[in-house]
Amino acid sequence: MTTKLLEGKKALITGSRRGIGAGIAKFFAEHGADVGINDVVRDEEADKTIASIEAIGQKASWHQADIGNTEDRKRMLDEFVAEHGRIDILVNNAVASADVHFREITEELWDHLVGHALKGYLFLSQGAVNRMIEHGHGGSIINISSVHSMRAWPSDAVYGIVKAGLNRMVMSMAKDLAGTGITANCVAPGYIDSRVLTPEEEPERGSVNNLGSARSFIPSQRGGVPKDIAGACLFLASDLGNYVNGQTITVDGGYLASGVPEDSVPLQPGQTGAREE
Amino acid sequence: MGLLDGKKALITGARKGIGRGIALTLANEGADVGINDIVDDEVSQRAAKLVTSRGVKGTFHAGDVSTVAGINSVIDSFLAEHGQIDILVNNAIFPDQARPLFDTDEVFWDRMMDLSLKGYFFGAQRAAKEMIAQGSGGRIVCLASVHAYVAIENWTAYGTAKAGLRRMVKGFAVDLAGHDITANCIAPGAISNRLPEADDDDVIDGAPHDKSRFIGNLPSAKGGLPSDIANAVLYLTSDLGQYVNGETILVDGGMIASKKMDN
Repeated sequence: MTTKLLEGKKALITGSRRGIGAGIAKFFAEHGADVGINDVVRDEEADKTIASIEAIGQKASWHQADIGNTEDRKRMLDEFVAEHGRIDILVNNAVASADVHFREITEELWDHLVGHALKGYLFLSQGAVNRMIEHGHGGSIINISSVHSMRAWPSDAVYGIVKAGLNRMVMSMAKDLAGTGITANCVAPGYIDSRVLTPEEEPERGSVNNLGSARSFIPSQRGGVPKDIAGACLFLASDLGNYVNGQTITVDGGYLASGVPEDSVPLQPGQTGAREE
Repeated sequence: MGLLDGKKALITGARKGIGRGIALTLANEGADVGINDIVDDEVSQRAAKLVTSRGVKGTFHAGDVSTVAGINSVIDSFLAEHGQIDILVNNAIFPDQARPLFDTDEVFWDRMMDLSLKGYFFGAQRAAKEMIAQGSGGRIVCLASVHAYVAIENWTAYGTAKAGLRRMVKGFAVDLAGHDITANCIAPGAISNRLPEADDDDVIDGAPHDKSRFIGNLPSAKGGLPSDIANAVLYLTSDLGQYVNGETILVDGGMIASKKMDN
C-alpha cells in the first residue's frame, strides 16, 4: 500500500517560491522528499514555502539563482549537492512567460525567453544529469511545459515555441541517457489557478467561478490547482512512473481534448447543435 | 491508507498479464475489484482469490465483452456484488493481434473492432450511465498501445482500433463534462505478459521480456512489466490524476520518443 512515494529522495524544484513550484515542493515533502527551493528573489512567500516544508518534517534548502545565468546554475547545483549529498529529482519549473504579438517580438524578448526557459532548462538538466550519473542511482528530470506547446493562442508564439522545445528535449534526453536509470519527461498544464490567496479564500481555488469563458470548454469543469501538477510530477518522479520516458503528460482537465472554439456560444443543457437563425 | 480506499473497480480481461497486474495493484490500494475474463478457469479464480487475500472484496465475472449483451451482463453481475462502479478499466484483448495485411479478412477485422473498439465504447457508455446515476463521479481507463502511434508490420487492424480509443476518450471527456468522470488511455509499449512462477504467484510481475536487441535499444533499456502499466492506471484513477482528462499516457520506456529501435 502506498503511503510515502519519495521517501529519502532529494529534489530541486526551480521557480518554487510560490504557485505551482511551491505546490510541487510541498507535495514532494509530504511524500518524504527533502527539497531545494529556488527563485530569483527571497521574499515573504519564499519564507512561507520553506516554513511549510519544515513543518512537514522535511529539509528545505534555499537557492537564490537565475536559471538564465550560467554561473547561477552551476552554483545552485553545487549548493544543493553540498546540502543534500546528491540530487535525485530536478523539476524545471521557473517561468518566464510573455504575451506579445508575432509582429512585436523583439530580439531581446526572444533571447530572454529562450535563454531562460529553453537554454536554462537544458543546461540545468545537463548539470543535474551529470551529478546523477556520478552518483549512479538514476534519477528523474521533469520539465513543466504547457498546453501552449501544442496549440496556438493569440500572442503566445515565443512562449509556445519554447515549451514545444521542452517536449522535444525530453525525447532526446531519454534516448541519450539510455542505460543510466534516468528518465526525462514533461508535464503540460492547462489553466491552473496559482494565485496567491488568503487561507479564507483558499477553498475558492480552481472553482468554476474563476474560469470565466473558459468554463464551457474545460470538460472537468474546474480550473486546475497546483496539486494537480504536483500529482503528475509525483507520478513521474516516483517508482509509479519509472517506465514513462521521453513523454509529455497533459494535465488540463480535458481542455485540449475539446475542439470547441472559444469564441463560439456554448451549448446549453438539452440544446442540440442545430441553431435557429 | 491506500490511494483507492472504498472504490469499486471492474477490470476487463484481467485473468492474467496486464489486467491481473492492474487488479492486484488497485486492490493493494484499498479498492474492491471485479475481474472479468472470457475464460473461466483455475487461473481466473486464482486472480480473484489474490484480490481477496489483500483484505478487499474480489469477484470474478465471466463474460464476452465484445457484445453489448455480454458487457451488460458483466456489469450487471459486478453491480449485484459491489453495489456501484467507480472505476472501469477496459483492458480485454484476444491473443495473436498481429495479422499480415492480405490475411486480414472480414472475420478478423470484425473480431478486432468488436472487442477493442465497440466493446470498449459500450462498456464505457454503460459504466458512465451508472456513474452519473450514482452521482459520485468515476474514472474510465482504456488500454491503448504504441501501435496507436506508429505502424509496425502486420499490426494495422490492431493499431487502427487502438488509435480509435485515443479519440474515444476525448469524446467521453467532453460529453461527460460536469459529472466528475474522467476518461483516459494508457498506451503500453513492450510489456511482458508472463504469469509469475507458481511458487510466488502472489506478486504482480512475472519474468520480463528477454533482452532482445529491440528491448535493449529502448531509452529505458528494459522491457515493461504489468506493474508499470498498473501504476499508471493507479495514477489516473486516484486523486493524483484527477485533472487528467481525454489524455493518452504512453508507458513505453521511451519507445515512441525515439526512432531507432533495431540495430
